[in-house]
Amino acid sequence: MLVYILYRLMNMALVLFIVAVLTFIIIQLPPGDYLTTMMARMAEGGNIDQARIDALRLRFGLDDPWHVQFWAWFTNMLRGDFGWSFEWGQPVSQLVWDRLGITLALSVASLALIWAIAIPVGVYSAVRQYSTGDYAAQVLGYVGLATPNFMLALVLMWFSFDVLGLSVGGLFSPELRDAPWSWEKFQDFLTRIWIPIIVISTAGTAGLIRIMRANMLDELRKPYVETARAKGMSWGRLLPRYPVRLALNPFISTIGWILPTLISGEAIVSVVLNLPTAGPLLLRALMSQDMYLAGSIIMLLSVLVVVGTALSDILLAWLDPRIRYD
Amino acid sequence: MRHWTAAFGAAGALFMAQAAVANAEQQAPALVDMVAAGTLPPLEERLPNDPVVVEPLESVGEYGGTWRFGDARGADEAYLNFVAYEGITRVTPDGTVAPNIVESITVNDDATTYTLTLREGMKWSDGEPLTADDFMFWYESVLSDERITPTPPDWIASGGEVGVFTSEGPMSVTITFAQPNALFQLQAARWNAVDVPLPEHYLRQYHVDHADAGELETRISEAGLSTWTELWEQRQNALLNPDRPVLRPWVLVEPFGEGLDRVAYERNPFYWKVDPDGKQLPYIDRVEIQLVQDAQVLNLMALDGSFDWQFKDVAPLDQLSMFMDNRERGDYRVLQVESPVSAFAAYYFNLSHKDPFLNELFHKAEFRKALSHAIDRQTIVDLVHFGVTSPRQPSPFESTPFYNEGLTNAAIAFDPAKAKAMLDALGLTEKNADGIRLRPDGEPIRIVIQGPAGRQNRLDASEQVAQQWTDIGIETTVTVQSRELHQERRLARDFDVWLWSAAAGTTNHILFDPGVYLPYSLDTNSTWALDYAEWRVSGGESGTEPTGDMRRAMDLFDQVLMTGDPDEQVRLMQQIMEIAETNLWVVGIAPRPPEFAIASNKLRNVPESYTDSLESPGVFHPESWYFTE
Amino acid sequence: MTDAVAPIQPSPVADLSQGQLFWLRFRKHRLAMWGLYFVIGAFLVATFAEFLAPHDPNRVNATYQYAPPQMPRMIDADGRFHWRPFVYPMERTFDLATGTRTWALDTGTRLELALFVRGDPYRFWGLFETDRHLFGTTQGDWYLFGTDRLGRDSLSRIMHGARVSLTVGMLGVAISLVLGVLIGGAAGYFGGRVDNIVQRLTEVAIAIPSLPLWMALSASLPTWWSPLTIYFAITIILSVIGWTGMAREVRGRFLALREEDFVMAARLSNCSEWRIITRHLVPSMYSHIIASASLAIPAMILAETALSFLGIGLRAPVISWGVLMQEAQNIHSVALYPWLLLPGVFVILTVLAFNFVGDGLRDAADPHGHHV
Repeated sequence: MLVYILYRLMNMALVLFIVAVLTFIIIQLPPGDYLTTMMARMAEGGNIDQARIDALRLRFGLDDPWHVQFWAWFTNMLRGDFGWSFEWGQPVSQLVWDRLGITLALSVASLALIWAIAIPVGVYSAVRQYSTGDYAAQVLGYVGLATPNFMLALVLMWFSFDVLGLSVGGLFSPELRDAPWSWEKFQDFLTRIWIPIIVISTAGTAGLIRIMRANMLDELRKPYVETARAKGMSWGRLLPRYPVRLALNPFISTIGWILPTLISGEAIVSVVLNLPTAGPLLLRALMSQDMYLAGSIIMLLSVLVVVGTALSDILLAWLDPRIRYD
Repeated sequence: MRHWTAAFGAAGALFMAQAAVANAEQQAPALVDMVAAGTLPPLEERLPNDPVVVEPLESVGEYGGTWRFGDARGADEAYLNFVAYEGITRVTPDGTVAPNIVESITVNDDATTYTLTLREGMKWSDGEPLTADDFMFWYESVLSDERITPTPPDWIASGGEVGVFTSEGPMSVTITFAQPNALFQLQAARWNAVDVPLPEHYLRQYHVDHADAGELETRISEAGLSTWTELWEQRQNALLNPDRPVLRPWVLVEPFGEGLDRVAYERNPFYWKVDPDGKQLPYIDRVEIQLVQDAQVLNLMALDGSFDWQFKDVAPLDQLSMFMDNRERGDYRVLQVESPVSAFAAYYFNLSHKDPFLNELFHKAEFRKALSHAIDRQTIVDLVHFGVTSPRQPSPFESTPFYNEGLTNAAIAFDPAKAKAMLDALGLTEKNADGIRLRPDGEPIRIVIQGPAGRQNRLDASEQVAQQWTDIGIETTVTVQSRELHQERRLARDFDVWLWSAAAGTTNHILFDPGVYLPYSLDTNSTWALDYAEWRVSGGESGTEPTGDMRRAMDLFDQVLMTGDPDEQVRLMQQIMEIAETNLWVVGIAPRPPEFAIASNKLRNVPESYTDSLESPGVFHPESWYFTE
Repeated sequence: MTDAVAPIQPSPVADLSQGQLFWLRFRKHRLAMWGLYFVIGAFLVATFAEFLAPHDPNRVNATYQYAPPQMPRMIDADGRFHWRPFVYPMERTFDLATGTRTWALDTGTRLELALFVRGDPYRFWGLFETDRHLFGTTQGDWYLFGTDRLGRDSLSRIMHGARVSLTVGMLGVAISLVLGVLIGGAAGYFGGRVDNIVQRLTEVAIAIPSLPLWMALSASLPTWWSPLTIYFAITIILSVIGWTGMAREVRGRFLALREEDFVMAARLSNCSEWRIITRHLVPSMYSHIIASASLAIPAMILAETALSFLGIGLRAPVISWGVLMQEAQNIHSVALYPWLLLPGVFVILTVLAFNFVGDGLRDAADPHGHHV
């Protein structure tokens, strides 16, 4: 077991290093740099302050060769220093942690919702295979998968505003954002948070229902189920004892692939709903070529995924020793 | 003894409290408390001896409230810069220019020497006095220091040289220009000139020439930086550094990035302006800018009444009815804002083109006029603006003394037959099978309109223009570029026709930058004549020397700069407009339609309609705005 | 193939080919059949878009911006019935003070609907010039799905958008299929070090959340590239991620198959490695590959819309569903001009259809298997 964990961790480190190299190459791809962005913005204001541009170019060493810039970035990152955001005029690490936390919280909340829906629906679909309910569940799940997140978010946002009369945008209303947690603040939070969680969840639910259903069907075909049923055990007593528990096992391994989906979904939904998470920050950084910020966010999101996957692998290996030799 | 002190202390506190009550209506309640607690000097000590009196638009107001607005663009554009508009001079609500930070300005006869007299007793937001040192520090240690100012800003320059600052005592500064600069007061009122003066007492500790070397080193490493210029850049920026003293009505308390999605400002207790009753401004306690990633959320929040005054990014024409419908729910009113932009889409032909054939062609006024006649302006206006504007060329508005009817209507009739005849007359008679006119070498004439991303109306209109130009035999396409590339190509003179808007409509805009009417500077307005403008800016060292009409217009404007007499300025500007009429340097379609702002029904002293500028709404004294119950 | 299997009851199963069996199983999946019909329909529309669309998708109309959908009617304003469906022309007025546009019906004129009408000229597949459209009005303007901000016909734009959106999906999947099969096959067949390298590569590709990666790659495309180049670049970017899933699937199958007897037999009879892979291994997993591919297409279609929404995908003047949705991605479209969201409905239907087809194919390919 220990050997497996060690192997898994080393593997993780290697993957992350390659991710870092790739990330750096990608963020260096666009022609120009942050200063060309800044220049264009100044022109928008009617006046280019060549003075500031020249000063900044000198300052950030933007003319160094790329491998020098990469090595500096990478080694600093290991020490927890993610570099400097040109646009925000602040160290990257100051900008990202809070936002990353909200990203993670939203993803976990969505994952919980997905499980809360997918497990019962999957079980139902398997037990009542080919019933109307089974079809309805599958079609609904697929509709969620098929609806572009950004459109759903926009429509729900308007629905929430126009029909339900709720305020939208951000996680709290401006009056309450600085207030300490209270029942009122929690309610305010709930009226805003349901849209992103629903939207993010739609993308993953169909997939999990499918997995749960397939796993359950496998279990239900096993002789012990037949025996139990033959002996007159009711579904209500039988299901939670064995089939569901066993069918849940492979569920853990889904964390690995569902996490990236959730994070991607989160990024796009947050842009529409103006949530202070990593997604919108990344988009903005990419557009303005704020390269250290963009690179660090991609890097940190990847770390989330890699660590998540490694954890689920280790957990799985612990639960089911056969996996290790796969 | 102890007893006595206590009694005396109590009496003292009582006395101070009474003084505070007497002062209560003259300053914000929170400040009264601070004065009573002894953490803030009394009002008389904070205000200048002779504070500036701001005439409110409607009435004297009450203290309190938070002004909330949204910003969908980003960090360095958050426009508190324009809201808190405090320069050496300022544009007043009626459009004239007046001294602002300084008490008075005296000019010598040939407009080469400006003497600024400071206000006695005026303070920075940390309570330190504002003196001539703050001006001299900017001039000597910032403007003249190439390490932090490689290129001096153009508002302080005249004839390619920056003005020289000298100081005669703590309350007086003199600026001397090598050449006459009659428009200096106007130039100093531009939004990008508001960073002068700088708080010398605070910033000197970050400047390598003034700070203690060891301390500076420590500060640099504490901030996680490597050079002093980095630290300087961070510390001097009033939009990012809450500690940097300012002269604005509100002081930064939550900078970008700290509050996730919000920037906040609070009142400056040392603000130096009062209302007619002598009450210290600003009325509003706090300003909060909600940073929004997506313009759609900004719109919804505005509809919901989450903003108290919002202009940028809301309510264009095709969404207006939505904002009108939700007025009651959001408890706001919709204000009409006239645009200073006399051409929402302006076509700048490149008179510095590297292709000799196109360069020669673009230099011909007849060619530009032919293409202008080929544009079906009325249809385009119907298409992109629901027909609410009327066709015109980029030109001064009717309301300005520079208005010239001939230029406004030059070649705006839609007449493809005439356009074709004009092109034929230029010798462009050979055509290929598709009806495209040929160059002498037999190749079809192809031009590209280079447009910037964003402002969809402008691009939609240009697609129509391209089609209409192709119809008269000049094959035209539109390419859309990122704003960055669009600017780069412009400065490299690497374009045929460059698409942008042209402000050029109001008096101040024209005098700030008359680039649409003559080769003036390397900024966008003179994009049609960059080589010639470079010649002007560099004082003849580089670029191309203009001749003929272009040169005449340039000389006329140099005369404008030398005369302080407004009537003479108008006479000269009218001649420039006549030259522009004959030449039609820049082709436009129509002005930008009115835009809309929304204001909370509780917010007063706000202009109900006005003409936009880069300095608005700062021009309208937001420090005098207030909330009613 | 279809007619061959029509009378199935008595014929011994042994007489049916692999393909026929596959088709039989597929037909049992009713949702999959519906999906297949829809997909075929969508491809037909994409192929004959010029002829089927009533208007030139780029033709603007300065008096018809944001016109609402106009349903054909058969009963006129006076209550009279007409055999031939018709619409009334509309006139717009705009009030600057309130920002409202009102549409007045001109009930004096009836614009009659007809088949094979003359309309905007086009070159059909670049072959010949014509102006015939399948349906439309003989005179005046009629917009079944309404118009956009420039008075362009939404229906025609959706039809033309299908062409780009569907081919982005197909092309992207084709590229990732080739990559996936080659790389996954190599890993599965050779095992050992090759397998190890491929495993690491896929792990890296999976570790970077796809949307941020797409965002970074698309944002780096030079903006001056022509729309066509951008189109291909976006396709390739989408398949950069797509291949990993395919490679995993293929690798797994190979690992299982290479132990099978028929591979051993082929090896013993001195077949080259290449021949074993192409002649024996790949054919034995066709059905799985096709099923995975059909499930990957809708993901690509959705990704295209997401990139367009973020402003870093395809751009106008290209017409794709993503571009159309991006143009409608704003509050005022939802509130004032909801018909502009119709392209989204077509995206949903298409993605659903592809998913059902994919499910059907997978079930058919692996009747007893359980698939995750």
